[in-house]
Amino acid sequence: MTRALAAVLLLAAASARADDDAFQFFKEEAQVVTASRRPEPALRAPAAVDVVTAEEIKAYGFKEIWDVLRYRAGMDVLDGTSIDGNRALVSSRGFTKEFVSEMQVLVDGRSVYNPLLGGVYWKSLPVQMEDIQRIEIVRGPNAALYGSNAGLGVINIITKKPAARGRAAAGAWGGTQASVGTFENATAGGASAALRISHEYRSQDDAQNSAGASANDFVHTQKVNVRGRWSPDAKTEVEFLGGGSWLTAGIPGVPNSPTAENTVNFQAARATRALGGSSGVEASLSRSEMVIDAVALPGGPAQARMYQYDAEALHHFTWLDERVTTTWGGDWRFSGADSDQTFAGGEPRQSNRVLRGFMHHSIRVAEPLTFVGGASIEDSYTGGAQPAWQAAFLYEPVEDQVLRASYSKAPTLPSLFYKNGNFLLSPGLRDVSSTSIDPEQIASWELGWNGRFLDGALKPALALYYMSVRSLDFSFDVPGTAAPVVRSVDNRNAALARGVEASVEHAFSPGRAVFANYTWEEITDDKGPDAAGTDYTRSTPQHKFNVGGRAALGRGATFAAILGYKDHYHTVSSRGTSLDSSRSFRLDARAGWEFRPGWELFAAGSNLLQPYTVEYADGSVDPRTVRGGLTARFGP
Amino acid sequence: MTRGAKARLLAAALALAGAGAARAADVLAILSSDSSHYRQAYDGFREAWGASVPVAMAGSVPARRVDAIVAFGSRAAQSEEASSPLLVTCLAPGAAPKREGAVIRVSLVPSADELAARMKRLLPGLVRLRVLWTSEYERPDVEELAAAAREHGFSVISQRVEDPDALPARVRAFPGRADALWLTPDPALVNAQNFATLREYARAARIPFLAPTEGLAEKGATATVAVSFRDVGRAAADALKARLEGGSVPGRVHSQRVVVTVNAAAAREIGMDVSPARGVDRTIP
Repeated sequence: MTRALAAVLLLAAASARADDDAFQFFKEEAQVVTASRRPEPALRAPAAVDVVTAEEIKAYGFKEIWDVLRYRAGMDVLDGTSIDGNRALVSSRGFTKEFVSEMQVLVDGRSVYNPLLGGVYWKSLPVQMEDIQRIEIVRGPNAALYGSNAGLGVINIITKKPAARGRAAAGAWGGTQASVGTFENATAGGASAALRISHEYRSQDDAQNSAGASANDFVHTQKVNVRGRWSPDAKTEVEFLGGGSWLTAGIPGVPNSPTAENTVNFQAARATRALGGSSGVEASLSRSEMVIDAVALPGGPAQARMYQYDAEALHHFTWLDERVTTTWGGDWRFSGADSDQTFAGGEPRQSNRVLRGFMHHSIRVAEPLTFVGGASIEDSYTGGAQPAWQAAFLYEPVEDQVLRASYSKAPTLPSLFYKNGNFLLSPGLRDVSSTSIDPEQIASWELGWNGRFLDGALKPALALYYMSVRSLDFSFDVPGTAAPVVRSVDNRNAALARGVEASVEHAFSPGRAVFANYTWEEITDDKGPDAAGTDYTRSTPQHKFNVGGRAALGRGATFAAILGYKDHYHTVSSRGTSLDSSRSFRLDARAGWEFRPGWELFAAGSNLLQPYTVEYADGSVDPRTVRGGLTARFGP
Repeated sequence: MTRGAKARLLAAALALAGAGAARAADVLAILSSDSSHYRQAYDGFREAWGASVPVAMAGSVPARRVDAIVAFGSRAAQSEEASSPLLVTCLAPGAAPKREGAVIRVSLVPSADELAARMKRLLPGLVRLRVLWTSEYERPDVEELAAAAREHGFSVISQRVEDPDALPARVRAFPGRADALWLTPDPALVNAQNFATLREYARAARIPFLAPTEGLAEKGATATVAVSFRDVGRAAADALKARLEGGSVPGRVHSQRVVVTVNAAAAREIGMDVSPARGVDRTIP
């Protein structure tokens, strides 16, 4: 639903223009005929939007979703683990920590935010790299569009729809660290109905640290996805989505080499109907469940089951001579977690219910000026009534040059653990929470510019932001308690963040493109380090830049490489260990040869400049890896 | 007065009465927006119709019943506020109007036969034409063009691009060799990025890149075989007149005025001959 909301707003903003450009006619018609397809979604968006396509994901050989994100402007990605099998920490505009509660992640419009601890279990997401159509990255607060917990940004992962014609693909690869992977997918159907089925298997053994010891970071995953489409008439489409993920992983940085087993499953249905003109309705239902079984942790075995039910509906329409596009609707969410260990000594079943209503407008004020505004109000068990706002002016003085000024405000609901947790992390340390913890509030002022030159082949973008965070979480030792040390959390902290994000992409010709981006971020924090050692002023690299390029070399050969630089930073894990990471470079590369149509041999490498790196304080190792394999694609 | 003269006089009187009846009809024009392409088509319609008709913008169409609606653009064609037994759509390649009554669609491109003939005249050596399309509603046009192409001595390689966003990745994997590229006027497929991709692909392969609207020649297509927006509007007026006068009009009509435009610089790059015998109406330096 939220994806559709964004689409409506962006399309409405796009409709604010009228010119004699040769493509303008097709642009206008495309908005009506293929409303979900936006050729240039970032250009006239009311927020900073970045898009990574399936073509780029394949060309650069990204192995994981967080590898896709680590080289984008404004993104902060660390290879690290939680105590239960997660493998990456992903944040936008700083504030990287073990569970990033302030960033919303959607898969085909369905939230995969974790209700127990906040954040996202990236490695367990039931999404396969081969299934991804594109990833949209929206930076900055977007709660008015996407609901709470979207304060730092939104990652929208959009997967491939079933095709109207038969098509299949399969592949296998192997590499260092005894890693292997296979995938298979097939799609078939016609104009009125189609089905896509996919499967992926990955396995990787332990890495070795500098002392030659096993890092206990092995991971094995299986993922299965099914997606069906039914179009009973030209105006109606019904989709069914389902899938699952099974993970077994070692937990590094913890004595006795424990393992975690995570299983995830989800089911969703979505119906859209065009009502004539440019109005339409959309409704969706979804259910998801995740079970974590982490064994032999220092504090004892731990299990948790998390679940979420969502129901959403919206209506969008245009009025006032097409000058205004309005979207309104509501959603209901019930999420919960069952865990004897996480909620020790209290009710082992904790839940949250969120009711939300929203309305958004895109108003063409004058020919070059569009106003986009939205407001939402939500009521929840964990946060009470919480409003969210977003307002943006888009000014397009000349064709394809858009200036943006925006203000937005977003709440972040505390996770169930922050509200009700009581967990013996190790024999010497117990984490407890506070029922009085308030929702965190993020407000952001932003200026931006998006441009298009050379028929859209050259895409520069610039964003400057100033962001304030109130009621930021803060850990402190509870005085006067006997061993174990009791560490509690409240939200007595506040912070200010400022940043500049600049990027440029240039597509020279089919298959040949380069990109570069630079990010500067600075955070000041009211309180400094807390009892857990978290210090937001130091936890975000101040300077980052990335450059990459991909080229079709002829005769089916391709090559792509990305070089990233990250300034020094400091991290602390929830297990109490800390790490000062010095400035570093990272190089990834991929070479492919399509020796006959649809058949490709490839070799790829990650982190090629380093024997290994440790990016997060938990000691998880990201070693240099090389892999090679074969993929085959059949059908048109 | 001879018998023949009487017959001619009667026919003329009936035609005048019919024309009067057509102009007296209650016709409503609906424009998708105030963009210039819809305006140009409406201007052409008004010229050929001989008078102005009430105009409404999609989204603010009055709820009234009229004798005929002429819709300029898909959004206009899909508006449902006004009702009519007859709808004429133009510049609406993907519109799926859900309304009672007859629908006449005015095509954005020449008839398949005319298109194939003009292509063959422009490119006498044409043997295999690759036709790029995406949306299901383009399929009949592609099949018609393939049939017409056979009559004119060349074949069509139908190349459906199911995911237009992935065109840059797929363009290198186009199967088979083609002598020219034809981009259908499919809004799902035509955008600046895809256009630039195809232009560069054609340039590298040294084959002509043919496009469906005149403006695309200025963007670097080797040539366009097109009907102007204004002529689309004129064709809509002619079809509506004929229908209201009781004539038989097919569900799909094409303008007879076709303009072939060549981008001389792009043509030179691939060594294409643009002598007058090739039926070129306009050349861009």
